[in-house]
Amino acid sequence: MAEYKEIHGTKIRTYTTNPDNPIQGEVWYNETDNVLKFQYPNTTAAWRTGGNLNTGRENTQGTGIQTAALCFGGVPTPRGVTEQYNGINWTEVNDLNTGRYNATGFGTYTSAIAAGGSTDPGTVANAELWNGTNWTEVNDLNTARSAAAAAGADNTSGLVFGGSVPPVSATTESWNGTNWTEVNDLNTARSTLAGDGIITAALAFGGSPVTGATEQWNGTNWTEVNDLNTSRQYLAGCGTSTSSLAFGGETPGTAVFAITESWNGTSWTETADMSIARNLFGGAGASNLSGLAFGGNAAPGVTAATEEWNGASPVGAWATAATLNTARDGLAGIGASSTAALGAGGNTPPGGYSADTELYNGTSWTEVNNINQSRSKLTGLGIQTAALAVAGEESSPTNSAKTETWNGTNWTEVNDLNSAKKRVGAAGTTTAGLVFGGDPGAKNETESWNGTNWTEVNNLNTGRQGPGSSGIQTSALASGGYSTTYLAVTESWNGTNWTEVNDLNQVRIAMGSAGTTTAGLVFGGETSPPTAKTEEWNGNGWSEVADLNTARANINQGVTGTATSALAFGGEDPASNLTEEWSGSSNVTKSIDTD
Amino acid sequence: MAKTYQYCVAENWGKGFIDHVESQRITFCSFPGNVWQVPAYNKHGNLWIAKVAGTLKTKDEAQAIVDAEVQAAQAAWDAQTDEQKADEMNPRPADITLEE
Repeated sequence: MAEYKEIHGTKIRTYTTNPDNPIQGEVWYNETDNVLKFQYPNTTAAWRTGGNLNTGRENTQGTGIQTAALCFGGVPTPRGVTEQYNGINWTEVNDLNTGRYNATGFGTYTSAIAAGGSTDPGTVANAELWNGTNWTEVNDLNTARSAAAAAGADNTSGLVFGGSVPPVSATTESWNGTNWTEVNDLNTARSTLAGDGIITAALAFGGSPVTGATEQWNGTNWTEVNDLNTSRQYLAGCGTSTSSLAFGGETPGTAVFAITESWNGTSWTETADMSIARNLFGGAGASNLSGLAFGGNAAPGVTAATEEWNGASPVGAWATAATLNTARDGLAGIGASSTAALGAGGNTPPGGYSADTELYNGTSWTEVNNINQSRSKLTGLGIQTAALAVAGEESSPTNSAKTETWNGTNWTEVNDLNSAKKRVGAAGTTTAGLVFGGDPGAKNETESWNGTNWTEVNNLNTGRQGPGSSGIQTSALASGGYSTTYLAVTESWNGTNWTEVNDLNQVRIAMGSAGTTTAGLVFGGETSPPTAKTEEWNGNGWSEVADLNTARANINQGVTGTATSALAFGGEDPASNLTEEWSGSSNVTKSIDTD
Repeated sequence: MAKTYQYCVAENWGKGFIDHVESQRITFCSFPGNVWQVPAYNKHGNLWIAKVAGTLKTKDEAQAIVDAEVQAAQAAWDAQTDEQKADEMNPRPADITLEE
């Protein structure tokens, strides 16, 4: 066996305690604890919101993976509806030739088989082949059945097992791209089970009569292995025979589950629940680390909701950082990361309007040249070396239409916004910017900057002041804010129009923001009282992640960093010079068992 | 009833006061008056209090510090003009009740 030094070019160091700042993957020997230790990425497992199906339905079926999935069949009518998921949105594509529910299927979103199912009346043996565009009828199953399970890599090879003929069946059939052939039965006959894997290595689990029984297929036979911890039917599953996920389902007449279990090839372990308990739904996914749940029945009825499973999400955290030289709130924040940012203007209690600008380099804040117009409740866009400061309050109640551009050294006044306002949202660069919303009132105005002038473009659907901002001029996100109440409403800008997307979990105004329309972050803000909550946007929905260490409102306004490296500074309650750095990933120290 | 949190007073000096590893290990919550809440009976919480030379306070002592700060902020708010008070982004500072 190779020694550590031969592989890594260095010996393992010995410490009396752990090293101060170990890097990811570093191994060392702690001679006090007499144990080998290493630095390991800290991750968590969680479901988060995905894009809704266009047609909510139950008794549906899915194949594919989290970022490329297929949903077909189900009720209500029309029962042949098929949709494709790209990791963000579902798109309707061509229907099944035979509309049905409780079908089964396998493959990918461009190469799949749908088989069996129910039409009213009765079960069907009908099978159809999906080539990425159309469904084509192929040879029927030997045994017509519904609510079976399936495994298979694509439309050229797969397996269908179990189901209800009726009665419940143990029959397994193998597909070779042309014909179905009966092979060895399941040990436990059942319907409404889940399955995954491929033709030579599959897994069957759960089902009706209610069971937690799990069986592993080796290409020839089914072998009973360890049961699910929670017996259930009408569940969904995804993955392989050695890395699988079971989620949702029901015990008839008593409970609908959100429970998720992870299979490691030997046993099932309960892990984080779905947000929505459901049964009769579709599932897809590559392994126990990446899955998708969509549609189904979730009290009080049929749902279009989709959830995405990430079994190893990095755990982020906020750390305190060097304080601003001038404590203030309602300042503009601009920056590329947690170690490169610009803060400008703001309110310096009691009632002062600041022109101060400070530059952060990851170690300290340095005072640089002031903005020309002192003001508070302004917003920034760009990066720390090329920025715009827009809008704000010059004195109460005089709002500002002023725009100033920063070249890394000085601020220069350029053309004004079309209307004076404060607490706007903003995204983009010094040559291609976007400003939206604002105060007085709850403005829905959007203005686009081309490097010279501001032009009014299409309005927000929900007028608001103090929204969170992510993105660029042609792809932006407006989240939360205030109209007549604190808001959670989020809208996505595609360069032409705003479209409502999934809400924040926490209503708020005047929060900090970072990132893009596919990976965004909001933090802090006013909720009366101020909040420390941080939420992360994945292109579909918001998930709560680690809180700021100090709750604050009127924090830096503008895009300041990315979803994995952001900066929070200033704010109020209390009036603040505090700075915190966000890291979207972190490490933990683990011991290596050498016994 | 066993307490969930412990309190200390410590001034946030900026970088290194709370690092990413500490923040990921335990949940910190700050209150007016440099009062910090960390989990009770927690090794990492105890280590952090020692690192920042925090002065331990009972919940009642911490509550008194927070109350004094909040009352001062409320008095300052009450002294504002009606126009300033009407700003929805300027709510009157709310009372804070620390948890056991």
